[in-house]
Amino acid sequence: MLHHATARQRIDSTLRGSQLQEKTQKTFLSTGMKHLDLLLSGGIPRGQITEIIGPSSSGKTSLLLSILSQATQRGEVVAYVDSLSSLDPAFAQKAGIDLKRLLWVRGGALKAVDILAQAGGFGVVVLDPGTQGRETHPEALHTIPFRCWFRLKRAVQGTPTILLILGNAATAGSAASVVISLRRRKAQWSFTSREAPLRHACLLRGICTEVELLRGKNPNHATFYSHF
Amino acid sequence: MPRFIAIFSSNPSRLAIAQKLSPRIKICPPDGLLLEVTARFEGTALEKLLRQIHPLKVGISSTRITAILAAQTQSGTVVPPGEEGDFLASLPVHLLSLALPEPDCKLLSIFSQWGIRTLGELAALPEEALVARLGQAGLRLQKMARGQDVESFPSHVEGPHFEESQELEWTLDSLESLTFILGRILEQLCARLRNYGLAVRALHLVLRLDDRTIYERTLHLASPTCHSKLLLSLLRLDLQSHPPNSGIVGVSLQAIPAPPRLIQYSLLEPPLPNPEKVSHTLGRLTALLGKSNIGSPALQDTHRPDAIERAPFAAPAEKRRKKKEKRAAEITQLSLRRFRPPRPTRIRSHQVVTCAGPWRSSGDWWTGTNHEWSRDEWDVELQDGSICRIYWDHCKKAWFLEGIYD
Repeated sequence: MLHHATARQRIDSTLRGSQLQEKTQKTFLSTGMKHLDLLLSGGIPRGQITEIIGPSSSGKTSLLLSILSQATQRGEVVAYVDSLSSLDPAFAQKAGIDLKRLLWVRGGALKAVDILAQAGGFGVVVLDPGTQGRETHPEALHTIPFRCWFRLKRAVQGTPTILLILGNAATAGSAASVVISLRRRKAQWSFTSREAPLRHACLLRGICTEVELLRGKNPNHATFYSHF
Repeated sequence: MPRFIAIFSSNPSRLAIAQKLSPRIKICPPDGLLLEVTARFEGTALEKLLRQIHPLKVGISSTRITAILAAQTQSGTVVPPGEEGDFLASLPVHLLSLALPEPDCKLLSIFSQWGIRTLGELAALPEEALVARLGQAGLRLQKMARGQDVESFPSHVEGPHFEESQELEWTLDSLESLTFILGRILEQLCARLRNYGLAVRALHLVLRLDDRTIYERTLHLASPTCHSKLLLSLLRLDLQSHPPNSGIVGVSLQAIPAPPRLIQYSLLEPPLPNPEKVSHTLGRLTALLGKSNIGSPALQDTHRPDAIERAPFAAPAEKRRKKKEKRAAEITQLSLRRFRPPRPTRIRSHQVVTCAGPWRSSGDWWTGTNHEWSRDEWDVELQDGSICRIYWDHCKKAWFLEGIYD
């Protein structure tokens, strides 16, 4: 009797241990930037919603293309829902994205993302609500009922798909597991000489971006550079 | 025992008529056909079909060479089995050029130098002596002169036609009832395709409407499939976004076959989307947003800015190339968010914090069409913090905002 009880206890503890391990085991997709991967404890978590937010010229599209590049280089297929058709494929190819593995959906927004998330098999699904004027307008996203974000969360949960949302401000609320906030620290210009007029540079070299993890395991700061 | 029919005619429908006789057809350019048939085809049925071809030269024999030469010399001749040599004996040697490739025709001039005029004389030559002088090529010609075939029959076998039609006794007005009929047709088509080991690459739907017009839709699939339910779902999505204008009185569905796509999945590679799911997803997205908005981007071979085209998306099945994993760094590629089309803009000098440029580029001025482009590009940092790419269009004489670096 005692033997049975011990065996049962052992099995229970083993099962509990494996479940716990399963729960805590997460897979990540590298962002392509070392400091950012450290900040995110390994990269962008799979099977969850991640938001990348920031104002214009903060480097969020550069970060997004870097993530997509990492996914396609691993042999994954990615989908980009581009509401206002703002993606430049030439820059995407320069960033290292295999364009044959990229499904570019122009127009549409939440419905298209829902179809792609339900289909499964895509490594990354991106929702880019686009730009209006010179600023990203997330108002349209704010009108989306909260249950829609949870529906999307449920669709990708337990799958290797990452759902990335670009915007000016966080819109998915608690449905997003990770919120990465970007801020432009400075634009890097190269000048021919110090005597040259300050306003006229020789070349735009890139943007220095400061990253803050608003929601995640260890909220902290990091920096990365986007260069030509 | 197979029989061969040689047909020489300039009639464009000769191939279609020949296909009714036999699937084993060899095309002999410029206007000849060689058919392999069984003996039961000879007779009135054959005569009836051949009467449809005009003008016509025809020859029938148990060997191909005899059939060709019979058609060319004495049209309408039927050479009985075993009498090929006798029929050919009186024909001149140079007629063999009708059934020979160009290099072998040079040998025929040697026979004329030897004084051999007819095929019968060539057939009577001693084999060993002929091989000693002309090699195996000479022996081949002698066999042909005796009415024997020296090569296998490289037949052109026409594939089966996968099409199902249904004429309706009543007019269909709703998509639901049409779906029911299409479902049955697709099941039959898919069953036939599975028997041949094939799958559907594209579907061509033809609807006869009650206003006596024809409504056609063609559906190309991302990957070949033989699942009738998936195909029905895709057809339904397509018809929902492009419904016919009138009631339907006839349905015809043709499947364009292709070998099924086989994917070797790997334990070590990341999982790819299921090809059937991709087809279904693309179908749903196409119904939602239109065909022109779905696909993979492809760059054109030109320096024209934003020269891109849409390529159909198909999840790559090939294994990824073994590349060195890109090491994580702190630097990434700067990207541009484009405005399509570029926005006309006015930028005042006090708004600009820093600028770089201009970079002049132009192209297509040599084509002499309206596609010429010429511009001066500037990168500008504005007071609100955004870094934009603007350009002065020399053709339109205006400033445009091309995009924002982000």
